[in-house]
Amino acid sequence: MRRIFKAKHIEEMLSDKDKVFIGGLPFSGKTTLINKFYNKYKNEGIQFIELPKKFNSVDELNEWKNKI
Amino acid sequence: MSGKIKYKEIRRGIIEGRTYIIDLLLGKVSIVNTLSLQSPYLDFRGNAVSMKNIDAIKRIYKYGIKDDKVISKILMYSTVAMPNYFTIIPKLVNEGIELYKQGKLDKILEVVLGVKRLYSSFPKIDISKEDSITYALGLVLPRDIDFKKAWGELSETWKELIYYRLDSALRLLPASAEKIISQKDIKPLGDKVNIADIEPFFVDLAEWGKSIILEGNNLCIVGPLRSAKSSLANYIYSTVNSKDVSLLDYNNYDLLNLDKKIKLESKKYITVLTDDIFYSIPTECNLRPQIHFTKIIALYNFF
Repeated sequence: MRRIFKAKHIEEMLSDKDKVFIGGLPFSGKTTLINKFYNKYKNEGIQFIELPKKFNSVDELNEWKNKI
Repeated sequence: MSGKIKYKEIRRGIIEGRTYIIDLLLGKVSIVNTLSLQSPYLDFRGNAVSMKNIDAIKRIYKYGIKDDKVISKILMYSTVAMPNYFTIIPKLVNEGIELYKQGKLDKILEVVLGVKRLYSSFPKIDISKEDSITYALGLVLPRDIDFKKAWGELSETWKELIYYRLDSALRLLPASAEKIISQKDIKPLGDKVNIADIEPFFVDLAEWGKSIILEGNNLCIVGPLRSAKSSLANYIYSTVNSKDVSLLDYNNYDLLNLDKKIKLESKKYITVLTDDIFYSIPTECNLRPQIHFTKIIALYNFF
């Protein structure tokens, strides 16, 4: 069910997982939330990956599948 | 503490993306190459970012807009509700404020409330047909509008939300809906929308509740005494087709009769219950809005 995500939840999730997926609808504030997380927790060692919004081909999609 | 964090810092990462893209990349869903007869993919799972109603209301207040009716309209413009999830889209709040200032909000709301039906209750269509993308969009657009004009006035944000929903519901390669819509003519065939008068604090819950019932579920509105449950229920009831839905409010029945009513009800129902009653009589509600009205009322007094 729906819960409101906060930067501290990302911190919590990262304490037991290496990869955390932050999803949502387009323009729902994902990047803003993640920026808040980085500003607040100054976790420089944590990589940030932004997934593409569109794909030109199935091959492109599969390439990303392998990356993830 | 910092030492502890450093120790765990190896190969850690945050991956951000739209929910459907994440589902595709994790293999939870796969795209269809040709549209199939399989049912639309309307799941919404995982860690999804949401914006609270109250934060949007605060933002609107900051712009000096304090008329409840206007606030509700801006919230209607910016809320997206599905049966199992709802949020306000921050970018749309800003757009709504701007459209109101330009005097364009009422007009565009007629189109937006139409296209929002792609989220709240995706049209029941035969998606084996090639034109199902344009047909689905046509079915939610109110039939009296001029498509080209309306589409031209719709913001890029809303268009993107429409493309996203069509891509994900029909399990297409992300970006397909945009390509198809730009090449084809759309015939608006949908019902007219009804812009109801509703309190700002009810907008997201009401839209969510409406979406639950329109998807064919019962809706149980549960909460403390005098927390405006009946108002919310009446609002939702007035916006859905009452032929197919019953309203069963505990205020109108004694417990035994309410129990009997709920058991024998053949239509989908919206029922209003206190917590005590909810736990003492059996209902069939898969989803139940978590209503904490005391909190909402406290915040409301804050203004």
